[in-house]
Amino acid sequence: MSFLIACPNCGPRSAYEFRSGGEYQRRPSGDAPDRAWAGYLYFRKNSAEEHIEWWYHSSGCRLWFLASRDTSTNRVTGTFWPEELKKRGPSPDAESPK
Amino acid sequence: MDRLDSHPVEVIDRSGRVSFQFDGRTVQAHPGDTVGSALLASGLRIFSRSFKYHRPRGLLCVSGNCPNCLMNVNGVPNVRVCTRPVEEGDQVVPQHCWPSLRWDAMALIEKVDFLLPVGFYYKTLYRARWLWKLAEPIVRRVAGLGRVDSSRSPAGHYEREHLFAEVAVVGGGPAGLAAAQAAAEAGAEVVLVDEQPELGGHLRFERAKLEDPISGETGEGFELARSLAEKVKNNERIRVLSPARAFGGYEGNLIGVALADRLVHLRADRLIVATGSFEFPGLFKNNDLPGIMLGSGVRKLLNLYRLKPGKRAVVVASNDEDLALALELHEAGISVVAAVDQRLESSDSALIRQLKQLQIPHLPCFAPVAARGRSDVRALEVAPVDAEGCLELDKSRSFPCDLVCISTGRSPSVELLRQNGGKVRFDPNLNQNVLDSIPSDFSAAGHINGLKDPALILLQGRIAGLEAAESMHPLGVDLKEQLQKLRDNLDQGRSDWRETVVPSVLFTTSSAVKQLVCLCEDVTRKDIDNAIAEGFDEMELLKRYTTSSMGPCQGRMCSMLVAGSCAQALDRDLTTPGTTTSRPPVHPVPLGVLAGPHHYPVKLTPMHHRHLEAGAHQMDLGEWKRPHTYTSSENEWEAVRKRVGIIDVTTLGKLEVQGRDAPQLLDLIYTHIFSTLKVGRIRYGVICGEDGIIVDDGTVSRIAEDHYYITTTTGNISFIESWMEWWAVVYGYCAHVTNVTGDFAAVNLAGPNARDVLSKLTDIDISSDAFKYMRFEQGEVAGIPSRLLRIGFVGETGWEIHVPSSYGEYLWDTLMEAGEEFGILPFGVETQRILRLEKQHLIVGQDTDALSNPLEAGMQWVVKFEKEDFIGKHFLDLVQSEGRRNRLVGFVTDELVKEGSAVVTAQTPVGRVTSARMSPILNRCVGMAWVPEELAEDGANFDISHHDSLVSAQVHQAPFYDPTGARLRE
Repeated sequence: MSFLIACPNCGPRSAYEFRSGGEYQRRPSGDAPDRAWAGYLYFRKNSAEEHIEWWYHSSGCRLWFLASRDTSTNRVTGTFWPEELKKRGPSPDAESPK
Repeated sequence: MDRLDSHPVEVIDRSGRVSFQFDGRTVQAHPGDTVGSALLASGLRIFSRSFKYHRPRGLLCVSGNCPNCLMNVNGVPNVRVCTRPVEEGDQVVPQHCWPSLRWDAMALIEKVDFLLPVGFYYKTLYRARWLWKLAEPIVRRVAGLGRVDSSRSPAGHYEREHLFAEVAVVGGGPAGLAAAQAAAEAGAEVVLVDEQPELGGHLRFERAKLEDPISGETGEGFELARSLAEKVKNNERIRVLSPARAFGGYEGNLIGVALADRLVHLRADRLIVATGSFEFPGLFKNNDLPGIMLGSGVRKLLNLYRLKPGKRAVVVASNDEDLALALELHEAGISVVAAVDQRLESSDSALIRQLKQLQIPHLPCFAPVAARGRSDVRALEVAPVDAEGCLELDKSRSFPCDLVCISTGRSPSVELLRQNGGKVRFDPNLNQNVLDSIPSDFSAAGHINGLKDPALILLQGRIAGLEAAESMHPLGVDLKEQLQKLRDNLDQGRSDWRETVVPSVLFTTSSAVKQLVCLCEDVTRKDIDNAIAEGFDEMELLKRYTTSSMGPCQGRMCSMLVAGSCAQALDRDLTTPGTTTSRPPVHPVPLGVLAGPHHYPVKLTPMHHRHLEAGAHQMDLGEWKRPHTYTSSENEWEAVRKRVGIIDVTTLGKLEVQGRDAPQLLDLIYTHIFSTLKVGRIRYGVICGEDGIIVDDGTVSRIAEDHYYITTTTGNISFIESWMEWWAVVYGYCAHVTNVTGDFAAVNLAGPNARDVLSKLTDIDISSDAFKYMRFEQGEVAGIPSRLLRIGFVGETGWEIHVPSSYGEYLWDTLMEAGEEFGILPFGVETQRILRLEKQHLIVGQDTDALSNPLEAGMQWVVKFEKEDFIGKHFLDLVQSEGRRNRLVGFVTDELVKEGSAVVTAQTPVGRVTSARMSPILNRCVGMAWVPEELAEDGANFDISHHDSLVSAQVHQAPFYDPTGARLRE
């Protein structure tokens, strides 16, 4: 794991400066069934393709942002603030959870 | 051994002397020598013993690739002495032999080699288990290469560097030097990595007259190399790492470089790989005898160190360039008894006519069959090759000699490119591996592409350098024109460079004799044939089964020989076997270099030195140092309960949460409600994960409507900080979280006399009516702007006083002075643990684990289900509806039990003790334990396993000390 991530605040830095926050996903509503909550808590897609995930620049500006990374090549194709998610198209995953 | 006459090409300084110890004797050398060249000059022929059969081995490649010269230098095992520059006083010891290199008792193992067939450990030692028990100690003893000196402490020895370059060039030969120079000229910041003691690559020992096509400079090869190297070293835009080994290519254009005891993470926008090529030996009987050397190695010894590696030589080559070594040997006064030409077509070149003139026998279409000699080559047997490529053994001829110069073939050093996605294929016309594709951001220049003409190499290097720089620094008109001209020149030259690549030939001989395919692991041709017969006929399988190419040379000497043997055994051509995956490290790297320096960050509180002066026993808490106790926990306990005590709580995590949505954020994060908390009040809160498990706890003080001050447990602060920030971002709250842990020093002043002490130092009204329990105030204490939190972790009247950390020591001193008349004592973490246990205050991480939720931990009162939402609500709801299974309870016993002991009922472990201490007030052991729900009733009895017996314990649901909390509120 030696790829670079371009923090929207600090620019390209080694992945070791960041902490991964995992796949981006929607938090179920309070009345959602147990199955939905279990899925949210314990299941990840973990597919070999580009997906959106959270990153935290823990050794830098300590800000959270989203990155789209291809899990099979570790190529980070874009990083952006969460509020830009909506502009990025109608993907069901790419919506603010609340 | 005498040196040849002095010549400008040499790198040794004959006027200087260096001496070092080798195996108990003193060896003289000149500055510029390597340990290997000095040892060869001193007459040493056997440099090492082979891995498995302990066969004698001498210098082979003289370029730091092969495993033949591994020795222990100054306590470091497996040093390649052929490239290690001599230093005065070096202690060099041979390894892997007993009693000496010359007479190695373990060489007897070759007599029983039938017991050690390929994959013998899969075949011989698994059936009878008892046999393995006997064999294992022996196998462990004889296996391995070199001994690590575990008494050497590596602390502070290794370092790490992160380097960024616009253009990184790997390889300091002519192509690499030209590339670096060109890229720097175009304006790029360049880092050049080279593994040899000096820059210049193979030009360092090239004596032919050359012309630099760029500068127009002419001179002998080594002169050009020096002038190029000088220019590069003096260029301010180029940083040279040398001698340094680029051992691996990683994603993100990262190259791992071992520079002596330093690991360099080299990252570049563009990378130029100019690593050249390496020679590998041929395959014939006893092909590993000392005295058999690679042609390029012999040329180095002749020129750089002016050494004569033998008196009578046979040259084996496949092209004119390599065959020309015969002339160099002749000139050095070494008699060349045969020039064996492995080319299938006989050619008639100027070189061959020259050989005839000098009466050097030229043997076209011949190949070596066997070397004779026991610990040294004495003769080489060669045989003609027929039109089908088969050896005609009946027509073989033997040449007595003490030196065989082998130039069988070359392979490009493409590892770094392959590790980054480059592809290599075997070209049957050129009989060589060639680059098929190069990864983006990379380029390759020079020998690695098969170029042999130094002028073309320089040209290609310059083109690569300009092209790499161009992507970042647009070229000026001059350089642009030059680049185009260079490209044209190279295109014209391109027609003839491929033809100079000449076949590496593998001839059919019987596999019944000892032909070493893999020198590192002692894998013979027979082993390969057997492995293929057993079905391991694919390169990756063959590698794993025979361990060939898994040794120190990482396949450089053997991978072509394995591929050739495999192809021949299966009657295929060499395009089929392919190559094995290239992985880092390309070269052996000391583990210490990878592990790096042993530096651990330590955090000290502003009062740290006062604790040391007071004689505190320190303990580690995360990265912090904290006093465990100062005198004894009994003394300190008594001070807090009866008079007044003070503890440094600077290590607490501290956060400020500010903003319009700060109340909503805290309501979401904590199970408790904080939006209703009045300004100036404090509330205890628990943070759960989404799964309802306790993550952290602490106090939350409300400074203003939109401003909270939070404490967290010492080790959890970074996580809680990022956790809060994350949720603020997820829900788009207008709330800002700031970690102020280091900004504030804090003490907890507690005890019946705490108010007396504090009132001496502050104007704030701290009477029990004015400053109630769980209240927050800001004001001055001892003249310092302070935050006062009236809380009671230890169960006494007390205040946490938070001040800017620069005042920490002053606050401590002032409080100690003010408390003197009341008998104040500082207390440590151990005393605090006893005090809090008497109050049954849990510690997250001590009394809770990854299965603990607040309902079962006995803190239902902090979980507010009436809130619409909070993190963990759904899963805590489930616990609530399904009922608690376990409970954290307080207990008492007569005997002190250990933390972690099992709670036992009906001889079955059903829970565990999380905390236990002797309580001075009860004079009994008090503690906390997880027990099944049915045992969690006040007065219930259970047993605790203790030293193979059971101790009877009783559940005690209320605090052992001051159960109503009256003292806290006083």
